Amino acid sequence: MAEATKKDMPTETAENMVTLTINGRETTVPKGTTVLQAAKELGVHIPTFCWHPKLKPVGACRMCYVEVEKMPKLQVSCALEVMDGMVVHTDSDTVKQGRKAIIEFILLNHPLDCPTCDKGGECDLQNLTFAHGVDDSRFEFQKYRFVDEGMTTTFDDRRIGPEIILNRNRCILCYKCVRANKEAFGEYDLGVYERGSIAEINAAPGEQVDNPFSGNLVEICPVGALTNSDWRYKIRVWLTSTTPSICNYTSSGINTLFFKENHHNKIYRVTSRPSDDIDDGWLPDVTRYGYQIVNSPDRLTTPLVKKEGKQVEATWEEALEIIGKRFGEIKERLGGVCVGALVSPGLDNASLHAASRLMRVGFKSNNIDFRGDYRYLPESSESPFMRLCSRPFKIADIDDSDVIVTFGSDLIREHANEYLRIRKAFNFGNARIFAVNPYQTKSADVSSLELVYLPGTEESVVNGICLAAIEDNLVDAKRGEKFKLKTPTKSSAEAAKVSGVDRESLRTVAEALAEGKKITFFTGEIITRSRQRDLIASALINLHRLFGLKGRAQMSALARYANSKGAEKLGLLPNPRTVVVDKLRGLWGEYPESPARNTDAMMALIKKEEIKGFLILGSNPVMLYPDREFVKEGIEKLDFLVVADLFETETTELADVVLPLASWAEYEGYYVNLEGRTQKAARAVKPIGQAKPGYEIASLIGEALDPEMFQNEQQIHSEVRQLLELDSVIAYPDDFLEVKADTDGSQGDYNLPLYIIDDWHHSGHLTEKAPSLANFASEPYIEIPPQLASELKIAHGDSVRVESEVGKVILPARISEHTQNNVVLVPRNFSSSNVTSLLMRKKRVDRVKISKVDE
Amino acid sequence: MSAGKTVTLNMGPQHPSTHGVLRVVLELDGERVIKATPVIGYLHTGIEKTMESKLYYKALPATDRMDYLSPMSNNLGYCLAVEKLMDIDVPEKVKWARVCLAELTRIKSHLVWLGTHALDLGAMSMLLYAFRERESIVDIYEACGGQRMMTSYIRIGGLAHELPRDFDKLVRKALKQIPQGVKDYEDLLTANEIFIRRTRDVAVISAGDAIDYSLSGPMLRGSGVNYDVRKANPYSGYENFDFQIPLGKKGDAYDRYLIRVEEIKQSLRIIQQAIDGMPEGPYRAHIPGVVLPPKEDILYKMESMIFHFKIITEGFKAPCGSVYQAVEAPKGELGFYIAGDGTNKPNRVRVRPPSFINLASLPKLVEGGLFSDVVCAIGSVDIVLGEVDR
Amino acid sequence: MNEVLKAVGNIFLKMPKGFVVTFKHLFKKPITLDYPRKKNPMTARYRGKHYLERYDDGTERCVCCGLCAAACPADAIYMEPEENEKGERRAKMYEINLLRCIFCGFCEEACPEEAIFLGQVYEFSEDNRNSFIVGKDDMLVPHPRKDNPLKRIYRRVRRVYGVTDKSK
Repeated sequence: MAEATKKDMPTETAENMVTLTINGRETTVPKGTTVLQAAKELGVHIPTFCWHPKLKPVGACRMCYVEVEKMPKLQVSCALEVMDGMVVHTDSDTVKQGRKAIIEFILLNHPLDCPTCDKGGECDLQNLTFAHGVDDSRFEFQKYRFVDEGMTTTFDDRRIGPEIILNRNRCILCYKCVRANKEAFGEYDLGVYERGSIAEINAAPGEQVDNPFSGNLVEICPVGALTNSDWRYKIRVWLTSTTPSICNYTSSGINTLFFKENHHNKIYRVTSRPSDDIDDGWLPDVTRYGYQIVNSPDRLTTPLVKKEGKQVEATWEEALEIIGKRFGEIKERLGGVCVGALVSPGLDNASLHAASRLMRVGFKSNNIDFRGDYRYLPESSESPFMRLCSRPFKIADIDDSDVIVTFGSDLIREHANEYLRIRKAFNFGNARIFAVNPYQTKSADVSSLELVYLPGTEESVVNGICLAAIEDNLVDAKRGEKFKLKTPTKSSAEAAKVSGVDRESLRTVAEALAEGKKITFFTGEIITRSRQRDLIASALINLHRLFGLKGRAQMSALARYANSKGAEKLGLLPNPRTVVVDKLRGLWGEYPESPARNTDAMMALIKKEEIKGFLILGSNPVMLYPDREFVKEGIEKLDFLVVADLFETETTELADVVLPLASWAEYEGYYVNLEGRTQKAARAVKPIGQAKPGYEIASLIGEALDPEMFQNEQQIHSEVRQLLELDSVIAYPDDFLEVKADTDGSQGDYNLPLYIIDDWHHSGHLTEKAPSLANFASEPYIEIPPQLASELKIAHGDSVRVESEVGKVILPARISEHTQNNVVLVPRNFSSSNVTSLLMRKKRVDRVKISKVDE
Repeated sequence: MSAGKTVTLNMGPQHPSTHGVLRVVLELDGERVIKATPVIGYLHTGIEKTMESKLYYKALPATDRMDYLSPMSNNLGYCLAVEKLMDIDVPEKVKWARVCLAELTRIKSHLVWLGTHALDLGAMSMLLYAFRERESIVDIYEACGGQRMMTSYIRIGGLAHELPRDFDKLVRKALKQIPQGVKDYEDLLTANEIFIRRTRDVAVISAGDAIDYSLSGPMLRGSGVNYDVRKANPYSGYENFDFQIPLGKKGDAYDRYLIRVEEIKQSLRIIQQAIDGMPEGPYRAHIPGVVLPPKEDILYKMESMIFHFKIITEGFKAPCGSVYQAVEAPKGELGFYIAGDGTNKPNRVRVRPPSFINLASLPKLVEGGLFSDVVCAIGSVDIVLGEVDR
Repeated sequence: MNEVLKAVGNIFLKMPKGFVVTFKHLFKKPITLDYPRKKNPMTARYRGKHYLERYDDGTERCVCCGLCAAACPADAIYMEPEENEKGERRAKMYEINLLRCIFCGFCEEACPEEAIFLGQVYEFSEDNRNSFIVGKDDMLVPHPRKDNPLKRIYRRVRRVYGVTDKSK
């Protein structure tokens, strides 16, 4: 509601302001504010159950009673709009009596479950009863009890989703869960059934509450009606303490709170730490349950050293001695340029910078990169795509944008937080929202128009929009003429034909872009992972110029990982921008002149045996790099490979030395989110076993090589601070950019486009180790559109053979309602899927053919 | 031994007649005590700090362990202080029961003192007789709170449980038994020449000195100063009871003996009045959010369950402000200073322990006297090291 | 000299009164007990070693809610809950460190399920410290129970929603 009123709120002129008195204090608020909000702004607390700052009010619980003079009865303040001259009392005897009665009424059928209820100790019902109720009951009858066949336990708990457990007896019918599910997440798998005293919240018939935001329902439940198995019967809330942190799986830097217990050195759950600028207090499930990997028993706890072909446990001293000796040998014999490093963009600033210094000062090598899972061609740091990346972006600005375009982004799966923002704009504002994707995604629900283009024709779509605008005189004709010189596509009709999007849709988008006053335009992973992202970025920069979006639009390529943005800013790229290089040279007094290689180039050189030593911090290229054979063959040829990770992965298997890495919850780290905002993740628990944070590992390796290379933490932090202060925005060029036509060429009878995605509930290669997330999905699968499935007679769950030019895997089928185009999707999060073996790094769109495996 | 040459003698902390772990460093010139320095801290347990780190209701058992010979008085002092801070009024019955229990505690404490003090001075059988009578009181304790020493029976807002069904019977039994015992003690000691010789004119402190040393209880009244918290600042309904404050004349150990014996008799009078006039009523106040609801209710009533749950886990919040509440403990004025800061834990708890302050007068009592009188002096101060060190 | 005479007189005239007291006790019954062979029965409220109650059908009353541990002033109780095969909340681990315990009985008062009680047993000395950490198995009363419980239980039946199962 807060948002709704803010949005509908006209400018604060005198006639739009209302003056009222609350508890004898006069206040002036804009028209349309509710009494509850006005009181809140005044610092007057009114107890509520069903009110939520981010949802529309319903007035279901009636706890927020206030007395308004000249109104005969008590009024529900959360749904009462302020009026001029209103005199409100929130603490009069009548109000207190009313609250008492409401609490008594709510408690009539409430079971005496406090001892067994997980919410005990943090329950709104308990707190408000304690604060406003009486400690005696007049109810002497049998309480109503929901009983049905689905009841699994004597405590009347029902599992209504992989994680969610419902106890209807405890429910006080505040409808918060149903409303949040509907309004904020756009999910309809939870509803209210029956009426009157037997009204109940329940999962929709035949459905499971398994949407990727379902964890929030548990958090906002004011009682213990909705609980999750993550927190179920683990620990009492008063035994835990909290540590503020941020999400390590999304790039938004969603603010979270760890609930931990110091004696066990264990985190018990994650809840939101509402921040209006970033997350509005909603967490995707991957954020909520992803912490579980920190507690996982499979974590690496000691260094492993390869001895006679087998990895055996070793001490840090042994491991470091070997590392120092072997790296030293390579450095002496062949030079530091024969060593490369790949770091994870999930690491904090200090770790990234320490790794950068280790490579650039320790080895005098520029072979460092943080992008272990993107295919791409060599690029400079000022390529069109990097320019697009560097543009400023504010998540909160999505709220009041009037035009929102998401381009090549399966929103929920990669930018869940931004999806919720867009949904909010959709619900409360009057934004025109366009989703431009190669297949139909779930964000269609919140789009005014969804443009589905043929895979691999992104630049045609962009050009089509531009040309439609030129043809219909929506933009400056002179600029249009200049634009036409740089593009191979001649008319919007042609672009429409190439891309498979009808011209009318292109024109609608063009119109919106031409008219929009505040435009949000961003690209997602489908663009970032594309081999031709520079080409697409050029087209987008042209669009920006053509429509004159400067000043009225935020247009950016969103970062994907928790600290991708930080890695860019700190110069973890092989070719950082000149400002960064100059700064680094200033800080270190030296900067290597050696050739710079990105991941792709490094892998090629490893294969050619030009790079002999390699360090991987937190990355898993064997699993995630979109060409498994290429990476694996390369890495096997290495003389010496050091891998630091949380778990044993496909990459650590090949390593000579494996080092245990501490997770983000185990040390204090700073992360830069996609907006460029630096946030702190405090240390919640001690590192497990002998695990060490990334900066310490980089520092120790440096020290093992050369005692003078020791980097102390303070120094790292101060250098990081200086680097982050640099202006990171790269200006667009002054003229339109050349956009060449590009096609992949035929792939024979492999013609079904394949997209590698993140599962709804997973992110990256680690989350499959989290039991709660594994409850949602633990096995790889292939999502097949229903039409194709019926053509090939594939049913849900059938084994499907997926073949490409280079590989073949067998995956169970999942008929998906969200990919109604001829595209198949395979999640990359499951190590058992081997999906990257189907891919080739040189392809723009991977094409496969599928067939049913006959049993 | 030539004059001017002194011997330093260490007495305690493991000396049977220092009543616990008191250590006294004595400087002796022959038999004469030149200087006596009590050294304390051997039983320091940090009770005040412990109480500050606990919820108000959880701090209560710590008070039992201060003066472990009179747990009920300590409970009472703490509870009255918290009740004063919270502005709680307890039912009439609770007040009467508390007076009754506090006076039983006084008798119990004095009996132990009498037994051990006489034992120090050589009267072995006194100890056995005194403990025999004491037993009837600990039986009452056990019936009430379930424990013979660390009762924790008096609670904030009332009592822990209803008074036991046979409370009346047990107290009347004790009322009958104790006077017989007191008669025995008086027969044995009051006119006993050995006892008189050991105590008369020994460990004398004048009224002026007693006030200067801020003494309280029998130590103060032994010197003839009429001050008793029960009369000066009546609490828990003491103004309704008829009793007298015995006063001494000389301020020596014998006077203090007489006063304590007389106090036992006066306490018996109070108990008689309390048990006869005990009103009917609830055993604890009904204050939602502070006092636990009855156990049988929490099993059937949701509201009671929630209040029980919240009080147990979070306790209650006391307002900001500080209070000082004194009670007349067997050993003197026992005061609790509690500073609340609006949270559920006290910000500061400070105990004014009578034993500790009375003990401070020990050098005054023994210096210039004979070495053998030190034992008598320590005994007549009546200290409990648990309270001295806290 | 006068004083000495007075003292001597005192000894002969007044002290026999005291001797009479002690002499009388020769003929009184001893009030002491022959302890290890004879024992004083403890009162119903006595706070001795803890025991955990069961329902009449033998299931544990304790649901591991943690209130006893929250109420414990000495932090002597440690517990870990778990979900049993029926999906109910039960104690996986319930330990009391009897060396930390101060036997104040707050756990008994806090227990909303009438599961933990402080019993009549006061003889539980051991020769090593670890034996004082008693677990759930040590504390649960045997089923079927041999003797009647001494503490008053307000609710014999397992709590189901409502009040009609109240049995006094």
